[in-house]
Amino acid sequence: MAMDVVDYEIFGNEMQYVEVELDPGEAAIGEAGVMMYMQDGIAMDTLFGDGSQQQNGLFGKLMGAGKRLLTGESLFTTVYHNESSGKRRVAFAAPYPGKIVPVDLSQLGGTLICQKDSFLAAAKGVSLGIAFQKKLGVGLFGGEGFIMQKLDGDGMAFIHAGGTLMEKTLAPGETLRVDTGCVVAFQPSVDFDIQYAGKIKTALFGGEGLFFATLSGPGRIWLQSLPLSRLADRIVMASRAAGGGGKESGSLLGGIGLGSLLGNDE
Amino acid sequence: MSPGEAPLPARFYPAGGDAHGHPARLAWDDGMLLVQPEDSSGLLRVPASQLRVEARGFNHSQWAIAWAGDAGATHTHLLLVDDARIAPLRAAAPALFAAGDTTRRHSQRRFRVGIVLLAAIPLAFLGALLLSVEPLAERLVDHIPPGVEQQIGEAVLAHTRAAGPMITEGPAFDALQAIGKRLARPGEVLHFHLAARPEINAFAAPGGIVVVHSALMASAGSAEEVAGVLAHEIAHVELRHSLRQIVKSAGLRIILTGLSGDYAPLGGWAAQLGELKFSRDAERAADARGLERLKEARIDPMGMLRFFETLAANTPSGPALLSTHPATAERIDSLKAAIAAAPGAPAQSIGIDWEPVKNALNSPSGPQRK
Repeated sequence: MAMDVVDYEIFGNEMQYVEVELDPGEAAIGEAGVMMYMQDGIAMDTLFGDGSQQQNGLFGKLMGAGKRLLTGESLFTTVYHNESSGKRRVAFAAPYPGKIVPVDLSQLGGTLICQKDSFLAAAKGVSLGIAFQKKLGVGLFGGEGFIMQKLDGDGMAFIHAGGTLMEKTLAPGETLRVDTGCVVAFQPSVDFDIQYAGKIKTALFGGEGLFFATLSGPGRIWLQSLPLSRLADRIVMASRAAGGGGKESGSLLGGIGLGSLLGNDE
Repeated sequence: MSPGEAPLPARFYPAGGDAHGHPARLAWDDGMLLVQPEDSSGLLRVPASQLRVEARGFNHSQWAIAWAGDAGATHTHLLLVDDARIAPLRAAAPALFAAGDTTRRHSQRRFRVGIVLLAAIPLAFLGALLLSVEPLAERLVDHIPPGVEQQIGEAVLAHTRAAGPMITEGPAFDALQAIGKRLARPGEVLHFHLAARPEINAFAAPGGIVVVHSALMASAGSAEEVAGVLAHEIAHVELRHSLRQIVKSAGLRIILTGLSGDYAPLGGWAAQLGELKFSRDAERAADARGLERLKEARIDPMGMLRFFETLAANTPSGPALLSTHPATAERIDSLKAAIAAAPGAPAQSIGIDWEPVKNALNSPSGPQRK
């Protein structure tokens, strides 16, 4: 499959956007609603499904759209096509504070498993699929649910992580325990599993939930320091409307907060 | 796979190397795995006996091929191959993959069983709820107030009235009331109704209501025979069989009714159900209770027996009464046994001359109807 090679530049610190340069005839796909600006000469086309080449015929398109529904994305993707004779730029902005991760799929063996709402944009030709988590425990307690997103191809893809990004290459046999909800992406060679926190006391009062996610190498992993759901929880807790002490001083006891039993990151 | 074919792409993590590993090419040559790392280090040859192959990674989509490092080293060399690309090696050395395939199958089975269990738990809850409908309904019966029972009975009676004429006076009606009065215990409120119907039948409705068809009285030989039938039907009332049956038939709706405390819709359902069929156990219990009542009232219990026998003998097709009251022969036998076992106090005749009653019902002008 011929991938479009795109040059890109990432701007900003904590609330970033990525500017992608398209050569004449090149195209990029973006998640609906993330486009920030585009120059003259770029035509926008909305596709039913994910815009990869394999989807021929109505059935293929419906399947693609169904997959996108499962991953919680909109039914449509938008393709940005450079129809001018010179280089043109289009920018995609991250929807919440965090970092944009540029991933070159060709250097990763062609496949990346991501958390289901982390996809931002990609070169045209990258296919967005579903990686169904087939470990029941991980699906229920791993913090990422049963449905993950699979990016296939050999072009550039941009995914988004909340807060600060941590990227690490795990050596064979090396294991990292991660709070559920913090996993953004990993190579398919990485074992994604869960581990019981070990002590009831820790599980109930440690605020980390009953389970950790464990990632074991070899392979690269990307972690986020602040899952959006955690940020949202804090905002809701602090808001006046939700009855959380809107005053700066906070409540008398300063919020005892038992922590969430199962780690309410998802 | 011979060395001449396109070698398999893989990622090689040499023992003691860095975490990143580097690309390599694999080939299979006569029981030896050939590994050519792309960093231009030398070709490695590993005999099949030293290889450990397992499925790992996300959903076991990768194959890890490991073998011991150089002598004395604690680390092992590791090769990772994507499942989509393993086919040539698998074809060349299928035995290597047996263990990994088992791991995959087991994990798939675990997943399927888990999903089925997850789906089964809510279904089990639903099943338990449906199974508990009957016991719950049984319990509810004890909590239905007499007023409501009365209402339900009225609804059933209204249904009977709508279905055909009722007889409200005349010798037959008077006889029925007289027999009923004799059977009623002090303080007991029972209502006896006579319906002009050609089927030999009688039934009980909630609220102490007993409906007798005119054909039953016409075919009886004496007041004692009718008294036997009435005693049986009163027993149904006493044991709240009709109410129980209505509640059971209404099923889940009744529980909702009970929760809301509004029993009014019961009457409507009862009317729809019309005459009820009881279980054999209920019939047996009613026979026994009816017999007791006859003895208390000092009415000859042989009348009850005689009527059943007459019906069973004279109408081979089975009259309506018997069709709703199954296993007659068995019941006659157990009645006989019960009568023989405890004869009770000497009977006193009801003292109704039965011929005028019969004549009134059979006269060509017909009984007085309303």
